Amino acid sequence: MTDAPAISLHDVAKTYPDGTVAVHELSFEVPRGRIAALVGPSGCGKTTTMRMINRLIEPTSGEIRIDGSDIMAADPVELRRQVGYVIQQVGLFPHRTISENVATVCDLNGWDSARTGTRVGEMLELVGLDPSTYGERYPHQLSGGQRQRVGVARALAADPPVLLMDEPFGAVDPVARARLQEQFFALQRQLGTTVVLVTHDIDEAVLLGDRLAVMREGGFLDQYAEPGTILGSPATPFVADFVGADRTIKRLALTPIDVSLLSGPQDIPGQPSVHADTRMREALVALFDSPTGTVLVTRDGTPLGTLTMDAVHRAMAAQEPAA
Amino acid sequence: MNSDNPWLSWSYVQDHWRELIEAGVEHLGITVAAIALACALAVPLALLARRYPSLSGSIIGISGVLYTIPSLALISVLWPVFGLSPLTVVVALAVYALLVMVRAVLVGLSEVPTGTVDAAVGMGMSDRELLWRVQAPLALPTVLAGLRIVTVSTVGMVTVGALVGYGGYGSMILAGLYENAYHAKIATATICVVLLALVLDALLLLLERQVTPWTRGR
Repeated sequence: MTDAPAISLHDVAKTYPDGTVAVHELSFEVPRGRIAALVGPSGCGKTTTMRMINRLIEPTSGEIRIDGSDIMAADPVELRRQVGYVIQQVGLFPHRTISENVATVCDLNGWDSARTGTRVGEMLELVGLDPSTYGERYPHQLSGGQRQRVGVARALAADPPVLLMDEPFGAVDPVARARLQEQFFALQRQLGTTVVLVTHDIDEAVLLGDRLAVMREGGFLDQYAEPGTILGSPATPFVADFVGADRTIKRLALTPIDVSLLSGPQDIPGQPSVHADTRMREALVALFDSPTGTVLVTRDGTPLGTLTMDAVHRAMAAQEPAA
Repeated sequence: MNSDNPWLSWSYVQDHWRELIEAGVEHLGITVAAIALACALAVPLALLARRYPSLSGSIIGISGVLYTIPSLALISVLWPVFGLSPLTVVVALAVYALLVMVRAVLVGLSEVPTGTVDAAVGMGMSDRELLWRVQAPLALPTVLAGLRIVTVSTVGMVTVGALVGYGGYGSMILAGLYENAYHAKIATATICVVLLALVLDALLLLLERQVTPWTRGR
């Protein structure tokens, strides 16, 4: 059981009675504790795919398993209480205080009030909202970003092993979004929740996703792979087009510095230095800014080697999987 | 002429306060009974329409037809059934209140944001939990707004009950008319109707604020 992927979809399809195909037969697996980002333009079936996982939409055919168990064998209401759910409009209950909102699934599961109260406080602190300040407020008294964080706290309060998110950061401004994404990622790694995230934003998918499912209009899954693979070798012209002409630049943001490609450390006066854990894109920016055309790569103050434009080029070429 | 038959007379109030109180109790009693009956019918009808949306049209349609029947005619029709009793008036007024309340409940339920409903279902609320924990409380402001309209209009319409002898202040107005247009009686009873409507409306507004704390400070 523990070897089973947290979520697996096998030949899952959704056809509506009028013959409209929302999702063509698709299969993918999400490893435990990882984030799978379903990404694609509107009408590609990504939301439909996600909503089939908690049976808000019933698949026409195929099989979906959570922790190895067929979801069709479970009671839908019970199933949904084990699966966290966050949507773009957040869907906080306007007539309930922030604390009451976060307590929703705990209450549905019949937790006693002491346990629920403790958990609500923990969850609000986890998402960076002071319970004594915000707990008794109503949703309309919070900013969009704060509401979004409450939505995440509410979805995670009953400690679900699996979390579904539909455009969770879509309704907030870009600055708040970047911060929310960063906080969410840290929280997800801390809790080890398995996440299926729906987004139309390829940058968000690359930033958060351990796996990307790129979907195309008509409900086709064109490619399911790690972000580096999707950016490095898109499987179809659609994927290449969707990830954008700057996919190489995006890939640099994921690629660590390959120390073996560095030339021996040279002490050139005036050259900038970066830490060895820096990603290639940041190192490249330093390289462009460097008056010497070189960047010293160091680890804890010890020089490891010198990065040149040539090394960057060779690193990206080495990453390109054989066609 | 007005000197011996004034419209406004404090001495009339002093001499007839007992009669005014009795009429007020009857007026209030018929109003409350009619609205209670209407709500008791409207809520299940609206819930039926929620469950079977195809019924919604017929329920609103039938309530709408009932609303167009003149009150005088309705009381005349109900008279042989319920006799010269307050029940005749209560049933007639409940019929009018019904449409407004059914509509208020249906509109209130439909105005709950779809995102809120989606989140509730997605988090594992059963249909019953969705209704009572989310949809009903969020429909409350609209339902209470409907209730206030119904209350004010019902207080006014109770007077028609004078036809069968149970019209609260309406009976006093009718009697005043027969007593050679006893102006003070007619005016005082009319003012009491208006005051009763205003007081009930204010009380309902207060209730609405109490039970919907989340709507404050918007």
